[in-house]
Amino acid sequence: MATTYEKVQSTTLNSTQSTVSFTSISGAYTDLVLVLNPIANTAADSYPYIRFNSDSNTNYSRTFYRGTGTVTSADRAVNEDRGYLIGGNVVQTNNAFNGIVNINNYSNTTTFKSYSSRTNSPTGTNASAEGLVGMWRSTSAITNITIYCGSNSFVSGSTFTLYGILKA
Amino acid sequence: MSPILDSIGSVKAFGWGAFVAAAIPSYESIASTTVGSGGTSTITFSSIPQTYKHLQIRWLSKSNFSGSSNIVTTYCRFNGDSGNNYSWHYLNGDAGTLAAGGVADTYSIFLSYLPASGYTNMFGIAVCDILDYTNSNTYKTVRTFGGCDVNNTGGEKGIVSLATGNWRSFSAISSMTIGNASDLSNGFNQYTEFALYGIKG
Repeated sequence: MATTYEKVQSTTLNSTQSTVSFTSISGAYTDLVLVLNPIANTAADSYPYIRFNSDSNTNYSRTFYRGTGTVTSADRAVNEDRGYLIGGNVVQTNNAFNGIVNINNYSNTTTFKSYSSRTNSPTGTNASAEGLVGMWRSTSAITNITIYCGSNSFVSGSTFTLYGILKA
Repeated sequence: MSPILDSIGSVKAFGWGAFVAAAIPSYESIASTTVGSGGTSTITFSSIPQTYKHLQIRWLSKSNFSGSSNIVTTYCRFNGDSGNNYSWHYLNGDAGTLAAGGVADTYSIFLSYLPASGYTNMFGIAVCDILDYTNSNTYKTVRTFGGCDVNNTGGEKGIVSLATGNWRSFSAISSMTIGNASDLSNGFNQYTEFALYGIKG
């Protein structure tokens, strides 16, 4: 049987930049998996998020839960202009934030797009483990994913990998 | 210094770094199904090859249960076993509520959540791992992470869920049936897609 899980692209930043983009994503796969391990250029909290196809309209929503060292919580947010990967996790200087994002059936043109993410942020006041499902209310095929470091920037050493999975 | 641009399989990325592409040879597609117009009752993967170490099922799904403001549950059975040989636990989160629970000695395993048919264009997402599915010395264990968000449509909360299940059988898993409701009495709506993958050991 054919090999169906491919690392499409990966990048390790060697300088500071505010966004990382995967563009011109073809419809050659069934699902996408985004793995990120970023570092921010500030000790202040930076809330990572993504946008699909550069859409900055209020077409995103999310439902999430999280556990800190002492507290568990769950919540949702609707009609946002960005697709948060987190409920409260943050990227900070020297903070080993990491996340895995699944985007299933990303190239179909008949459904809104759903994604799930699991993230952790092991240090700082927002240290927690989190799970999230999100939705982008668009029937467009996803051809572009841009990753933001909140209002701050990612620094050298941040890693981002996009995988493609192809069904039989 | 300019951004490095690489292109593999018509996919491009821009950034200040290096891009690499490689295949993961131990992950293979076994079968998939996309639900056509009219929907389907249940989805079954049968004659599952016994040549892998683990299985993974990935889906984007909507229930054919009619209702404009309902979140529906997905369950599964193995090898056609409808006896009370299953158990499961969950950790769920919605708008302000975190909940955990479980069921013992029941006839199916809870997997995840998805919208009812009335939610136009909205689908649930999940990834399910079945570890060591051919091992004749252990019961079989399932883990699923997923759920659905519906943007408060109809005032309904989305749900994110981590679920685990157990099938008390030493038999290798050779088939899996997936449906909605604990008795699998509801099926899936058009454009639902399930894909089964094998992971080599």
